[in-house]
Amino acid sequence: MFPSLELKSIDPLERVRLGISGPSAFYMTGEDVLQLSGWNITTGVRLRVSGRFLGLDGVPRPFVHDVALTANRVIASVVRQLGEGWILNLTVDTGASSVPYGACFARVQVVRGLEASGIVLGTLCAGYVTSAQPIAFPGGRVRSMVEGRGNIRLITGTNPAAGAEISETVPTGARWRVLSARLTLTTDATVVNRMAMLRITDGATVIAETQAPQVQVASLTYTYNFLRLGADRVLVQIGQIPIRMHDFILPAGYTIQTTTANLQAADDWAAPVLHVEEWLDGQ
Amino acid sequence: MSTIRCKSCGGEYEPLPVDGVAYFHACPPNTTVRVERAGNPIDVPLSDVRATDLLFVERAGAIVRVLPAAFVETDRRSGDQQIQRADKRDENVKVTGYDKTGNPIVAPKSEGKGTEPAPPK
Repeated sequence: MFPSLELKSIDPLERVRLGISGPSAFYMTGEDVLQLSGWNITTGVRLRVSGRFLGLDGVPRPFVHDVALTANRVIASVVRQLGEGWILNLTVDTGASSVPYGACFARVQVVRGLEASGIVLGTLCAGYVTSAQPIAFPGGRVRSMVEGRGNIRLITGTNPAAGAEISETVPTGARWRVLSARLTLTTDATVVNRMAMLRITDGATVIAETQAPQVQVASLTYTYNFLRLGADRVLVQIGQIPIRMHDFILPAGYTIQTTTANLQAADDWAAPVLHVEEWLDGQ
Repeated sequence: MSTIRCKSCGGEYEPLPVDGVAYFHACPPNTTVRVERAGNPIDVPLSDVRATDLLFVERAGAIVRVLPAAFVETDRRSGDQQIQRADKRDENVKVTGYDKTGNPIVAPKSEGKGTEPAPPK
C-alpha cells in the first residue's frame, strides 16, 4: 500500500523512486512555458489554445490563450506560463476566425526560457487548423506542413503592361503545385508569328519550358490553358489551346512566367489565372 | 478591393483579393531585343525598338539583319533576353531581424518605384 502523499512540490527523483507517475507526460516547472506558434495566409486570424492544467494542489484548472497571426506566412509565437504542474490536455483552433483547411498551421511546444533563446523541450501537437477542425494533445499528431493535401486556391495574378511578359512568384513561406495556368494573349496588327511558352525558373535558372503547339498571328486573342492532364490540342476557331504541362511542385521564390518569341511592344498578356494546391512551408 | 499599379513595371493587381489572402506582386523581367543601331549591335528594351533599327532574325536557317518593316511572319527574332529590372518591385517578404520575443521582423524584398492607384477602366 503506497503512503498517502499531498500534491506539493515533490522532488522528481523522489517521485521516480516511489513509482509515482504524473498525470501526464508534460510536467512543467516554473521555468517551463507553453509556446503557441502559427503560420497563416488569411487576414484577421487569431489562434487559440485552450485546455486544462493540474497544479500541485491537485485542482485541474482551465486555461485559454491566443495569438494574433500574420497573413504573410511568417511565424507568430507567444509564450505563456502555466505554473508548476501537469498539462492534462489542450486543443488548438482558430476560434471565431473562419479559414479554409490548409490556410493556418499551428504548433504547441513546451519551452524552457522566455526569450528567443529558449530551449524546446517537447512538441505536443502540430497541424493545420480551422475553427471546426482543431489539433489536440493528447492523441494528436505532430504533423509536417507539407504532408497530405494542401489548400486549393485560385489566384488572379498581375495584369502586365503591354509588351511585358507574365511572371508570378511563389510567395515566401509557400509551396505550390500548379494544377493549371490560364494565360491569354492579344496580339497587335504587326504581321509576325508569335510563339508562346510557359517557363518555370527558380528565380534565376530556367528549369523547364513548355511550348504552345502552334504560333499566334497578328490581331488575335488566344487563351493558353496549361493543364497537368490531357493532350495538346489546337482549338483555333474558339481561340482556346489546351497544352499539357509537367506536374510542378515549386518552393518559395520559384517563378511561373511566359516567354514569347517575337513579342511586340503592343501585344498584351492579360492577368494570369492560376489554379494551385498550396502548402505552408514556414521556416 | 481596389486595384493598384506598380510604378516600376506598369502591372496592375489587387493586393487583397476577395478571398482575403494577400497577393504579393513581383515585377516581371524586361524583354530586351538585340538590334544594330548606328552600326553597333546593342540590346534595347522592346519598347525602344525604332523603325530605323536593324533586327537580328533567323530566316531560312541563317541570321540576317532586317528593318522592322521588312520582318516577314515566319522570321524569328534572335538575341532576345529577359533581364531583371534594376527597379524591380518585389512585395514578397524577407526577414530583417527578430524582436525580443523571437518573432521575425519582415519587410518587402524590394520597394522599386512604389505603387499608385490604377486608373479606372
